Amino acid sequence: MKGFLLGLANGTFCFAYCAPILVPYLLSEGKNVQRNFITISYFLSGRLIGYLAFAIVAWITNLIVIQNLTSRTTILGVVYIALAVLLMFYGFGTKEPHCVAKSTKALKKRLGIRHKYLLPVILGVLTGLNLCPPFLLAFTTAVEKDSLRQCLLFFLTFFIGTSVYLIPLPTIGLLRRYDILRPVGRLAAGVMGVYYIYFGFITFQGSIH
Amino acid sequence: MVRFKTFLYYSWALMGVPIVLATFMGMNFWAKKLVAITGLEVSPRFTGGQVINTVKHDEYKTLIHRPVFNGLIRERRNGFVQIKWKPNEALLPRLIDEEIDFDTDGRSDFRIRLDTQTNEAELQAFNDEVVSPGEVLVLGNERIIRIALKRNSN
Amino acid sequence: MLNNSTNERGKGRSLIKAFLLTLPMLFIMALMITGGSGLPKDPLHLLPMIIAYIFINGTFFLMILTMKTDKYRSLLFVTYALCFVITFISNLIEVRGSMVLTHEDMSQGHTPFCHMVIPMVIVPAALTRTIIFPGSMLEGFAAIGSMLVLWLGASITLGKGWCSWACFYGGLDEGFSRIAKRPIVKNINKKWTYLPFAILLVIVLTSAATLAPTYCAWLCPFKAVTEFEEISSSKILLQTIIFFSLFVGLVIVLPILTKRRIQCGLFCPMGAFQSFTNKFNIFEVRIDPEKCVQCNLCVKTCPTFSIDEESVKKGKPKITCTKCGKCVDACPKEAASFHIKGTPLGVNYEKARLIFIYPAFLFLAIMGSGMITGAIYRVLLLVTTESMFK
Repeated sequence: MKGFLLGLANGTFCFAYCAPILVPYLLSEGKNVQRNFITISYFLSGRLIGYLAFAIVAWITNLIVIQNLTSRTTILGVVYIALAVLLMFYGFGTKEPHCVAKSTKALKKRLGIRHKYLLPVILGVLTGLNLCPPFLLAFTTAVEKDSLRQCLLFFLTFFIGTSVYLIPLPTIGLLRRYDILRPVGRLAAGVMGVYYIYFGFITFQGSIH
Repeated sequence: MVRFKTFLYYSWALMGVPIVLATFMGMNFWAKKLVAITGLEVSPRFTGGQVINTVKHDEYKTLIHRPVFNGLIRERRNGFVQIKWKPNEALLPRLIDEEIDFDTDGRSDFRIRLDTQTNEAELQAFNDEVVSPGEVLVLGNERIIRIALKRNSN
Repeated sequence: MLNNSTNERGKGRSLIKAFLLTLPMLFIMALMITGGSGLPKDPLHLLPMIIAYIFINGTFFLMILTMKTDKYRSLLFVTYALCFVITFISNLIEVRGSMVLTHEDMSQGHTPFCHMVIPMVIVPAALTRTIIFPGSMLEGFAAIGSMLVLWLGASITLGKGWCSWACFYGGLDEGFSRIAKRPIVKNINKKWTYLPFAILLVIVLTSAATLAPTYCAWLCPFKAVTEFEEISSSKILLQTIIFFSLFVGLVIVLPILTKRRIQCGLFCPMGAFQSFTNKFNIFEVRIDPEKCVQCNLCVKTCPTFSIDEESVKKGKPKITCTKCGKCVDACPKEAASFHIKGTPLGVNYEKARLIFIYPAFLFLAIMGSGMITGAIYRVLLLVTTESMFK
């Protein structure tokens, strides 16, 4: 549940930055709603693969790095605060972070017409592995999990949470709402950053005591 | 048709005053209806949950509430159990020392020693799920405490 | 009585016509202010009631007579908010001894339920049938059930008009925004108008995740004038610093500097939530494109940033419009007007205004009368007994 809700909260960031670039390519097949749903499904499948791959990386990080650290909560606290500041910077500021979606055009050219069906899947995998602030925050939360099963479950629910905003995209009506949803998404991510700063501080404070 | 639609819209708009009056004059009635229909109640995370057992002593009663693990969709791993002490006459005894069984399995889950003057509590856990005592709340001559619990598996 | 010719608003209405239109309000308010149980004998209770009655009905009469909405609405709205603060704090001190909300109070369900909590309780209530707030469902002051009914009634009749005709906090923001003669800070980035929606999204999700009202705990600036948690830990100290700073910044300083309702327009998540009720509410503000000369005075005047150049061209404010009437009164060409959805535009706009302000003012008057009476009573108590408390 925590993963899902974090995904819902952080997914606005993904939506705000990546969707406006992705959507024109994903839905360039035409206005057929069924076709668009299929395209989005491929994209989400690719994204899920990326997220679950990262869940495994989080678990390995836990085993090799975190469990051997004497001051793990101190480091985790500092990481949370740093990522939170980054999230606030992108949320409230004017700069945009790098999003893999920006390489969509080049990717489409490379795949050509024969393999263009792979475009949504590859884009999905790449966005699933994209190191944007909310994803890094989720990763930081996941490395604290006690088992691989928990890591996978956390990322799965996080994925579902972030995907909620993308599922209604195939309906054309929502495309017109970008001008409203995008600033809301950015600012929501900034507000979540404020929450994570507090969360980072109490983690850090807990480590001192 | 247009005229009829306009008439309908005006009629709905004119309902504003009756709705406002009904809201204020019938507030208690509507509130009771709303609660009865929806079945809404204050979350046990705030109320402490229902009392499931009352232990009678000479000078006071111990009210043991249902353990609260309520979550959004399913129960959470972390919860608490609320214990309340009510005096029979005027005041609670200076020291309360008793064993509590909150899961009604016949075995004590923890022992609590409460000083009702300093409002400090000491806890001795007999059950793995029992974590720590919370703050002692003072309600007149009564005392309430929430004992933090943690389930070992979901 | 219901004239529609150009510049008729500027002339106002005749005294007799205005009085006849005010009569129903006089009768209704006489009933509501006394609670149907006649006048009290004690002068300390009778005098506040009479003063409140005259003030409220006088304001309404002027609203009808001059055919202007905002100035008189604002007068009552700001008075109501100030009186709410006086009455609420006095009652708290009388009953509890201070403004501090203790854990004991919360455990007994003594926390009054305020409308700001509503967006946060919806998801948990839908999934668990419990309200994540330490109040009482049906008993005591501001019980949860009663406040939900009030909010439902206001949403049906007023939509987001709640923010300018019912909310007991909005008047504070509005009052400070009217102090300065001219704005010192004029340009505010349009992106901040989306912040209330962003905060709404975050608090709904975090409240559902933690099963506690996170906005109340962390962000509500109005705890500074109502009640707040006892500072018993560093976390609560941090929360106290935050809400107090937000109150000073968003409710006092920025409204004075900008002459806009900053807390209401750029922060309040309840306002954002209430905006969705404008979608189904029958009343709206419209801009007649045939009369509009695109002077954009309404854009500069709107206290909640609900009108921009784009909405002027479209002929209607954004869904965040609180129906305060400021743009309607300010428009030099009478292009902006109250409108009943589904009816012809530019026709019978005074009729539409009357049909709207009757329930809107009634809501404000009933909510406000108790607070105004209570505040005057406290002042009289102070004057006669040198103490505001019994």
